[in-house]
Amino acid sequence: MKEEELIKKLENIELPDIKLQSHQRRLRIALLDAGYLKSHRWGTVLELVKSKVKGIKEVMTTSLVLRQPVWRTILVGVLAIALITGLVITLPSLTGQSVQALAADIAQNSPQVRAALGGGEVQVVKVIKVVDDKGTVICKGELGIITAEVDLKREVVTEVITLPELTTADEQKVIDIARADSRIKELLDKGASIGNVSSMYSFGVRWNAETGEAEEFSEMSVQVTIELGERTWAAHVDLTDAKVIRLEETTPGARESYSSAEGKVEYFEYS
Amino acid sequence: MDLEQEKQLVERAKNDTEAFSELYDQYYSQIFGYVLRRTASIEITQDVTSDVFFKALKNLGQFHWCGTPFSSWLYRIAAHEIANYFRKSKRRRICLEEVSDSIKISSASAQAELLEAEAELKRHEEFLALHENISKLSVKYQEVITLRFFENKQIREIGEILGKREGTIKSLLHRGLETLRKLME
Repeated sequence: MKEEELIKKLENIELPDIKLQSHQRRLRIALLDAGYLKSHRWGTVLELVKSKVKGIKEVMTTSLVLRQPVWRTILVGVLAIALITGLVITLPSLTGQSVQALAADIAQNSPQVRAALGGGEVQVVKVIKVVDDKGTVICKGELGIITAEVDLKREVVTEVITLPELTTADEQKVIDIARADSRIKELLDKGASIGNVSSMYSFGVRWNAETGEAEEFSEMSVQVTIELGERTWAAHVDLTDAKVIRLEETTPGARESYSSAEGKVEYFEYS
Repeated sequence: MDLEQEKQLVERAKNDTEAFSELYDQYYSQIFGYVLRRTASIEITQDVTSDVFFKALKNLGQFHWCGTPFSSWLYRIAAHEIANYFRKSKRRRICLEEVSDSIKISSASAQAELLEAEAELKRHEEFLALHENISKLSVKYQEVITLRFFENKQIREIGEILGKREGTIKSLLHRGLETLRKLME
């Protein structure tokens, strides 16, 4: 074979052009985790290691060491060190960041989510929760905000929840329900006015006054704003049950609980 | 993305993981393809590609922009990692399976995709036969031949990737082709 023939063969050979999306996705997640850990989380990670190890050591020492000879104590020590080493090595994958990142990645790359948001770029606003391989992710796009229910095991979006469009009749019904509420009536009597009406998806952790405990929640409702001078309130109305399910003052600095609203999604965190 | 935009993105990526993931999305396929065409093994390609990007993430702070595309730097890491792979019998690999195991995912679709990729590779019989001969060459010849003919890189770019002068690349290429030609006779 002449060199020219070899060059021609090299130039014209059909090359494999293989894509492995699953590897690309998993590597992306691992890199995000690694980058995140590198820049932010070593303090937290070490605290977690310490607390886990402390718990394990306590269990081991109380259950195994009592009335045992010296060699067993040494064995327990060695096992504890092995556990510490194991935890340090595997910790990045145990912290849960992978799960959050995976949920976000599945939602962001879902054709369903993309279609629901108008086909353009999909941004992940927040991964609300991940429990038992199921996650809830808020995504934002050209057409607004949606909630995606994600199955981490199958790596698919199982449901896309969009905020309902309100008709003029719906808005009037919401205002009527709000006006009928005694607490809002009281505000209106003081000169307050009814403001915007919009669909709202709320989620987070909030204080339950009845049980006296913080609890996770998520709800779809219609929000009516009420304004009295510089003070504002948000009334969350359930159209189906025709009642105000929550009335909260939203004047900056007025609330004990933390809440941040992005678009038509509101996030609460009990503090 | 032009070189100036890429420069800005690389600078941001030094402190911003999201910016790094943009670079990753941009170059993953290119690097995966290069490693695959060098190794002709899906399994090795997955491992080496993972190593390349972890190395890039780790060493990005030391990367100094000197007017050449970011991809040249990634190709350089890839060439180094492939050489390492062939050099060492035992090596530490970043195991992505650990990530999956930790979140209890056993994705059947990922397995199916892997099997399909293996089958697709096997269908390129002519390439595999040629690769077998190329793999008998010393690594320095493999590098230049693959970059020149499979990645369509110019001599100047190959020099940037491998950190060698253009004259050196030309003579390596000439000698490599000559050796390959004899092997194929």
